[in-house]
Amino acid sequence: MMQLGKRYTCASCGSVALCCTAGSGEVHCCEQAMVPMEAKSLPSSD
Amino acid sequence: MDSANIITILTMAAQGFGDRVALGPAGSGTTYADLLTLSGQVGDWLAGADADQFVLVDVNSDLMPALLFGAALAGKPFVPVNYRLADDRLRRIVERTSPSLVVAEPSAVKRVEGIAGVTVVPRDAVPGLIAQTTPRLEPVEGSDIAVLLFTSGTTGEPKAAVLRHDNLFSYIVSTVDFLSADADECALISVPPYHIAGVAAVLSSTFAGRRIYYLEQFNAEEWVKAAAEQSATHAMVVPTMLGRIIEVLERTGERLPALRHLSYGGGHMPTATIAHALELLPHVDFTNAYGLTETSSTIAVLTPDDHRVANASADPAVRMRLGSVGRPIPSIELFIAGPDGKPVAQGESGEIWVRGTQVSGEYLGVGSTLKDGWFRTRDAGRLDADGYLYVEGRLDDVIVRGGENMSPGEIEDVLRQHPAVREAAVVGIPDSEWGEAIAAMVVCHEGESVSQETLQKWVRASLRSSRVPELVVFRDALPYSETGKLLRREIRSEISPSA
Repeated sequence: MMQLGKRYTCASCGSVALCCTAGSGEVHCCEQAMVPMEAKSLPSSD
Repeated sequence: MDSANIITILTMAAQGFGDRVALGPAGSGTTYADLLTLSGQVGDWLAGADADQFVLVDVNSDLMPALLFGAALAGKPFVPVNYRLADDRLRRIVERTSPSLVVAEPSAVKRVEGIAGVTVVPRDAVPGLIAQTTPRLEPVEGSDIAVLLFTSGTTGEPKAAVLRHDNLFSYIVSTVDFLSADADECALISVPPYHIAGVAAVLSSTFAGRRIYYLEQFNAEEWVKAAAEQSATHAMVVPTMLGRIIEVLERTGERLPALRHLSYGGGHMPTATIAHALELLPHVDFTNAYGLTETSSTIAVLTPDDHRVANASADPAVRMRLGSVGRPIPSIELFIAGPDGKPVAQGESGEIWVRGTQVSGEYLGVGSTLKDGWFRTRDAGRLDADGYLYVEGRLDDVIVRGGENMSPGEIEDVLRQHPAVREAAVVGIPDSEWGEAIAAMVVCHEGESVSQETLQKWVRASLRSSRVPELVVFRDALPYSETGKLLRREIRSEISPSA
């Protein structure tokens, strides 16, 4: 399940994908599933 | 993949939390779903207009986000222009956007009418014009430029900084977590729409799901009143704004209990001002954000924890960090370059160079100024041993006296620490012996006064004698732009008319 707004990264090449539309299935890169990234902890600056 | 488009920020928000209020008062404002519809209507209207650029000559209004997102849907650059410019300068800028469609504040319509290829629409007429359109929800194939911002160059005509969809989209995705705002959060926005912070605020707030409440323009009394009435939890201000806000808070006793987070940037924050703010508002998280128009806003942050640690520390090196802009954000590479473009030794001053996908470094008609992706900021700075960045001002403002480079900020900080001094600005003026001599313009606290000699002694007590101002002039106020930038050029030409 792809979660809206979640970022996924490729453990091999470091590419990052952003889920812009929620849906089933998973995103692949370098012939493997991309892994969800941790939330960032930057303070709001704008 | 398809190129990024900032409209995705809004379509995601409408998909994820469409019922949340995006804009206006908490109970009756515009929801994200409504904002998407409105933006789609603006997009349809604009797509059919005989215009390459979409210009805004206006103060803040609730229409601004729909115009920004609508332009993205129409595939046309959004060009918010400084409405405070003198008539001739404003017209020259609008002429350069032709063929264009201009939305103007009603009283500004006359100022930009009659330019070839430019259609002017009063802001009040927009709702009627878009009412009959069918909301366009997919972007038209068009320009990949999202926003053009005219920057006030030190010489010549202003340059139009190009911010592509890729720059802004990657900035938002790498600095803001989607739907990270609690349902009660509200950002009070008082920076003008033609400032990068005004553009970034719309995008960041939308992606986080934080309600925006606009002030038409900044005024300290109105700001405090709106922050209290709207229970604003977040706000961004420039240093001069914070100084005035503090004065109002002290006078009225208001302490804004709902406020959680205040970020500041856009100029050097006097250490005394921020230390005072930390004392007055202990419940608020402060963030210092450093960035430029050409970098799509923030590239370094001094976090709330950094503020607390520095303010509580007895170690001068740690305490000094209150005057830094913190550390580069993870998606930005940064180093300090010498005149040869190579990194200087750790701790030394030089020019701040940055690289990252949010960095544009591009101007319309000039092209990209990046070399291997690196953007020369023209800001002087240094990094301490822990990676904290100190911005020393514009490279052009560095004073070269007898072959020695010195930053005005260092001398200004010392002057400001004198109990009689409220504000101070230091500039270089032509000098036949030294090349440049140091001159200071000083504003005293009300009812206070101090002599040139006393201030010279004061500076000599903490800095090398070469840094003592040869001349100190006293004024009632320093000249600032409306976004809080100190106008050093004006100070220089006032002190030394031949400069």
